[in-house]
Amino acid sequence: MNNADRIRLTRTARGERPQFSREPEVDRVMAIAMAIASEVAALRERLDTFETLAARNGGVSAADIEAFEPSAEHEKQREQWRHDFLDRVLYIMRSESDLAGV
Amino acid sequence: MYESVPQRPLPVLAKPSHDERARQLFAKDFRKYIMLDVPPLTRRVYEQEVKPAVIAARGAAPTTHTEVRDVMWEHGYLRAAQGLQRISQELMWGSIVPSVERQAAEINARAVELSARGVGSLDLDPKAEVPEYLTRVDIHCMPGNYHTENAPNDASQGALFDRGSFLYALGSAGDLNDATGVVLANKLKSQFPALAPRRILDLGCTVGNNTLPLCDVYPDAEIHAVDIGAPMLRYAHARATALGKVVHWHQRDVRHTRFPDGHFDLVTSEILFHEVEPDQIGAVFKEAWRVLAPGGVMAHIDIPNFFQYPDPLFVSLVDADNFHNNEPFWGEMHRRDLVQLMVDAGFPRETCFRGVAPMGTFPWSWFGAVKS
Repeated sequence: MNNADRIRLTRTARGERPQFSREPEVDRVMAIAMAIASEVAALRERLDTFETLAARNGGVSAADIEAFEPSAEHEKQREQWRHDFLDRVLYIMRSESDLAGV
Repeated sequence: MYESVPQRPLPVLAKPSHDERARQLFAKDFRKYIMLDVPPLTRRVYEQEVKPAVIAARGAAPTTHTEVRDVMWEHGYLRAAQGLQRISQELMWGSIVPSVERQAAEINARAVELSARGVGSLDLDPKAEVPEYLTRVDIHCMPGNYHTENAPNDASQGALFDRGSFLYALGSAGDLNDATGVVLANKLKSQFPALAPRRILDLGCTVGNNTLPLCDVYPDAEIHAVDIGAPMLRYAHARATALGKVVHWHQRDVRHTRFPDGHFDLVTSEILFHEVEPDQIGAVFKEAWRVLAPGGVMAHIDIPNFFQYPDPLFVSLVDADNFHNNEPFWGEMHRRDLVQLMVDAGFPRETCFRGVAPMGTFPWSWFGAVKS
């Protein structure tokens, strides 16, 4: 399936977003901070899973990690991941933009 | 009540990846923190700082929830707390959307396949009009609301709602996301022990998670359920089929269900009315009265009536969803005279009831009447 065929869901709820802080900039920063917290929590959980499995299966050392070199394909995946990560962390920018002029 | 049961995997529910699941559970726990841990902190700010300042300035403490809201809103703490509550809701949906989107084509295909098995039925109306009051905002900030078709024959929007409503309930909904329906079904059994409905109509059923407990309590009844959102109903039919439950799903406006007069012995709803424009509540009661047979029971369960608690700070906090979570009718339902509206719809006053159907310590409201 190519990108044009991909089903898209709505990203931003219709309806005016209330202002909470006296300065709208603070609302943005707060949203970004909590989106980062969500990412940190996911990362921490992934690491926790990894550590549990590593301990169970005989281990991966710090040196293994230092010596690891991702393939070009792997690096491309990571680049895509970083893009999607930023898309999530900066979701508030998309939301405001989606609602602009609505 | 907040035991964290994992949601039971069903063929139409999106399966989150490791990190999607972690983000979803983070959003749930973020919300839980805001709903359980922060309110006592907010109360301390009110009692120790805001209230004394108001008394010093005006000679008296605020008495109504709107006064409390206004003085608390001026204080930065409530702005932060409620801003975070809004963000928790946005992150919750945001953590589910990509996982459903990734699997939308498979979900839709599975829904078609399950529907085709012919367990119960699916009656969609391409000409159905979504009531204007449901189109102004996406209710509880769910992107796309109940009716957006993400693709032809879309059920994926139902998958979004099933997961979101489960997470929103903070683990209290049970593995089938049906705790509210179970509470209603059990309450009906205890309050109307002699009721043996031949036909049941469930209003505003969404994905049918709270409809299905009626199948267990009334195994001999023919059960019909209506909603305006086609993606919800496609998902509901597939989901019920996967669970082996027989229900007939119809795309209808709850104010005009188009069933014959006197067709049902029981009309129900679960958390519908707080999403109905308050001026339209009477129209739904009238429709329920019309389709009920004499002696038939109307029974609804909805959000607790926290709005009349004698604690203005508490009420102001509960009321926040109204302003900050795209719940434009939140609370207003409980501020209306529901019994009078039922009487106006034709139900005898002495049969009308309005009380509590508790789930542990959580006081779901329940109301209804009997047709004479």
